[in-house]
Amino acid sequence: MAGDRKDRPESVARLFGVSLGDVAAAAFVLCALSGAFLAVAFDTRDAAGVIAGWLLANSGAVFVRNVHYWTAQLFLVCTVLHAWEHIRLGTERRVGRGVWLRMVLALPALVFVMLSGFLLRGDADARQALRIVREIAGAVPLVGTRLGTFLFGAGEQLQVVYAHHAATATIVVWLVIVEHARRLWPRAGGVAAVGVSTAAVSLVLSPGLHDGMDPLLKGPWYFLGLQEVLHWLQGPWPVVWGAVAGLVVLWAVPRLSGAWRTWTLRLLLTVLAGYAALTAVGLFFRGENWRWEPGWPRGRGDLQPGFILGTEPGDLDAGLRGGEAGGAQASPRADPGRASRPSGAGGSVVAVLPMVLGRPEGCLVCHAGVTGLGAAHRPEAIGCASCHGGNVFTLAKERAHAGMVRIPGNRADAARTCGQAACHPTLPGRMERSIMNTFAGAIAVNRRTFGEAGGGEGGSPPSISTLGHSPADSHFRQLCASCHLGLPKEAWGPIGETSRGGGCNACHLTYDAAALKELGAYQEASFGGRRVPPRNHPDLNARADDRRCFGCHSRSSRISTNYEGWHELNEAPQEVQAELPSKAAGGGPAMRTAAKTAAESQTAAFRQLEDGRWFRMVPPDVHHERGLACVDCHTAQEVMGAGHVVRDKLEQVRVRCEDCHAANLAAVAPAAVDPESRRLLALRGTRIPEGLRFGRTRDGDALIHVRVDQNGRGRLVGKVTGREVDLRPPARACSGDRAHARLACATCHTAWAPRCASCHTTFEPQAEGFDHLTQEATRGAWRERAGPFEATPPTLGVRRDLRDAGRPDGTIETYVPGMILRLDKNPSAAGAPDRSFHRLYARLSTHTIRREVRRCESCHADPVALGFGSGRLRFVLEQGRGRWLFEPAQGSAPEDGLPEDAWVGFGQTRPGGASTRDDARPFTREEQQRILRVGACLTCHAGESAAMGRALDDFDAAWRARGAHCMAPDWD
Amino acid sequence: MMFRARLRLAAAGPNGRRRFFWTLALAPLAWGLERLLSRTGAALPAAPVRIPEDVPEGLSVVGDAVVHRTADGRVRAWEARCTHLGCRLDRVSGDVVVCPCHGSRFGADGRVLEGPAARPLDPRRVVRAEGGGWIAHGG
Repeated sequence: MAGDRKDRPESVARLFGVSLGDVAAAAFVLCALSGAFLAVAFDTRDAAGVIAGWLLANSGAVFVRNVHYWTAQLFLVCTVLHAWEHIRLGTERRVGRGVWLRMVLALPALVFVMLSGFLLRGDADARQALRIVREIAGAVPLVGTRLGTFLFGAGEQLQVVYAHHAATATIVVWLVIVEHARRLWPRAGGVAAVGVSTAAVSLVLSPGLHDGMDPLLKGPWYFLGLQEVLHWLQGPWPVVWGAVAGLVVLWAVPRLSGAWRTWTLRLLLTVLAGYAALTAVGLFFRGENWRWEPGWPRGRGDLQPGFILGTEPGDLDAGLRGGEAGGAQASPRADPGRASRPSGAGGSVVAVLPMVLGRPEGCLVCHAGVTGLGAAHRPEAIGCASCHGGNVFTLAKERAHAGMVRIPGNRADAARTCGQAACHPTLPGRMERSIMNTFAGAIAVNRRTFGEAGGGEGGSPPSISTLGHSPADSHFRQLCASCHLGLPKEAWGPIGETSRGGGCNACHLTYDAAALKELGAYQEASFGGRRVPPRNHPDLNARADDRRCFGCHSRSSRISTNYEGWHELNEAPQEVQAELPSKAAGGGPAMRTAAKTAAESQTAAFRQLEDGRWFRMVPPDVHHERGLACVDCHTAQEVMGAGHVVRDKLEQVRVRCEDCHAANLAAVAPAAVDPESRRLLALRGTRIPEGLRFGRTRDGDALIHVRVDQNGRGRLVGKVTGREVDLRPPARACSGDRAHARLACATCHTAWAPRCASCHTTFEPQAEGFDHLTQEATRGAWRERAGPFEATPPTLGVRRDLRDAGRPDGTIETYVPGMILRLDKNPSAAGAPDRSFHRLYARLSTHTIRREVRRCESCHADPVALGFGSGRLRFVLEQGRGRWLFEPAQGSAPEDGLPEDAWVGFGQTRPGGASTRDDARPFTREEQQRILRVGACLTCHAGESAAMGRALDDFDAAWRARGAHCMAPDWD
Repeated sequence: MMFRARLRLAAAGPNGRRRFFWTLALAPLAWGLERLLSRTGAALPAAPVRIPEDVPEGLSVVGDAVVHRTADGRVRAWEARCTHLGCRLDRVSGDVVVCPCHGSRFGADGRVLEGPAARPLDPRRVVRAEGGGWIAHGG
């Protein structure tokens, strides 16, 4: 910037006769001029709002702002390079000592001008930066705090910063430039070069504006190096002293000579290069919360590419009048009622911009009139970007949708969509630890069966997020991993029979008829015609009906189908087969359609699911008959998790039958329920009359839909249906019967359980499989083939529930064949086979509860109930002796000699490892004998007889008082 | 010190003496500026924060306060301000509060789990509020 040619560096770099100094001076002047335009329309009380108004509705103001920004950056870079050029050539020694001193002292003013410009954005990035720089200024000895306030003002007010930026500091810098360059105005060539180049860049690259929703926060690019340094420092004072030392060294440079000068310049160069490297680190390697995340800068405050003349105020006017903007209809009706204040740069157009959460929300200009969402989520309250992200500060479709989350609520984005700080911050963490996400229990069982480590033995439970590619894990990936909550929902549409995963949406997304109809029209339009984004948005609410659970829970243990009374069949039933077109004639969808019609014609005696499986209607669960939904029993702490990692499903289940069926229900006063329940009560507008108490589980979870009266009797109000049901206490036989004190409620009240005793799992090395976790095809496929399904009363077994202190010897519960399988982990022709045989029964929460109970004989004299497998179990009298004999229906397995479908040998005790659970086992020989002793009585005495009634109270006393004709079983 | 200054003053001659007195004359100006700065630089007291009755269990950010509610309903609060460089803490990540500026992590008891912050969050005094909820007063 030398006015006199003699003072200019001799080998200074020039382009078209313009030096770096000329460029810097021209950039400064253009920056000041553009700043003067902006200053007129600026309002420090709502800086971000004013800029947002420009971005949304005034492309002229955006252009001026961009020019201001780019000329400032150019000024900074060229000044630094120009100064270095002088020092490198030694020409700085020609400058007078006083001038050099003032130039050195002007450097802080230069930094301040740049920084204050960033602070005046007033957005989330700038507000944090303001706090940091005030803290750094506060570290200046003696005057720190006062200096901070003098330079940056108090609180988040920007008046002081504005005054210094527009006047004080700018004047200081300008004076120094004039003194150094010895001319008032820069050369015309420099102005032209800078003007044309920055104007061109300004048309396509705009500095962003951080709306506060994006967790990625960064300072201005030239401060990222400093931010990196601060990341490693506990306090800011080294930065202050470092800056002072730097200025002193710079001041001393012209006075140095010889080796001193050489080494000082090398030191300065090293510092400069180091800072540039740190800046690059901050730009390209730092992500959310300053984590190490390599990638291109993607923060809301970073540069936003896009031609800025995409939307003119005239277009916006049309949009607001109800015309079309960005391909969608818009209407002033969507204006949430609070309009942004005219900024002076957007005129009347800006005055009607929709305001949400204190900021203009450009999304609502195009997506006006969206309905369907409840009060908490309606666009007028939280806008669109709160959930979907995107850029709210533009009306250009491409830029507005950049970075948008099309379907928010998936596990990967839950923390920054549904779970953001202002909304549901605790829920993503709970969902992450939930068993429906980790699959800890299932993974552990699968690995144990395969003989692999990592089944959670003593360590932390396994998780689907750390699943590997061992045989067990690949088996899991292909056959089991499609259901976990972490699987993303990637297509619009309701949660249905074939839905899997979906994060928050899995339970909370609700399509009504209008939303479905519009979605259908929108999807049809993709095949031709004009697509209009649906304005009926699906709702998000806590009324999760059973369809949410059905997709996943109609598989494996078939809980959902059991609950509704559907028993799975191996093939289409004969009653409807005749109406089906043959597979040879073309199966697939046509077959399914016909079958659906056929099923309907059978008065819902049969049902075919969308995945093709057939079911027969059998007695449903009594709770289903009474209108209870899944969520009426399973609390939020169960389905979303209570926040801690659990080992298996039973650890996560917190509700028990006794929580609703007791003579005197446990209750909690409304004032004592947990905050989450309180919020739900408020959302539902629940009226709480005087004296009302809510039900409570043994873990202390409030059941706010269970009202308990003063007598301890309860009434349940369905969460989904609103239907009220009286809760009955257990019968006397349940609560006063000593003989069955170890039985769980479901042990007697289960009507049936799906049973498939011979499922086969094989591995085909050459076939193509599908990895549900990566959603990719893999080489080698696991195949599962089911044997005949049966719907019979389940087998009984024993589980030691550590949470149930009342049953130290364990609880007798319901079991079904879990894994009776032969496994070959090396089925290829090469190498020796690696075969193993497993006979594991699984505990099943049957969800086929009926008020009526099993008959006595169905447990005490039934081989399936006792775990022997199907067959004939009879008590025979021979030569004055009574003996139990068992004839299995199925052949013996060569591996262990037991019938194929057995859990335990007749009259035998199995060692450990008999169940998919470590804490469960079949009856021992002694237990079998005690049960069958009662069974022997039942061969003569009916279950309802007086003799058996006495036995219920005290079996041993009744046994001692037995008649001479009673025959005890002989076990020898 | 005074003795040395006199020596220097004597050695400086009439010009040095004039400069010295000019410097003395600037002292009231410096003092006035300092008073002005000290008045504008007075630290603003932290405003009380109203914590709603249904503040969720665990950590959360309510206004300018980081709030922790235990399972048994006890509530504690701290300034939502990183003790490293004053950044506003506005997000909870699982069981910790993470500073968005430089990554300092604070636990549910306000203590530093990971730097660069070196000292725990500044506590707020929590009292029950009339009509439900709590008030977290600044320190």
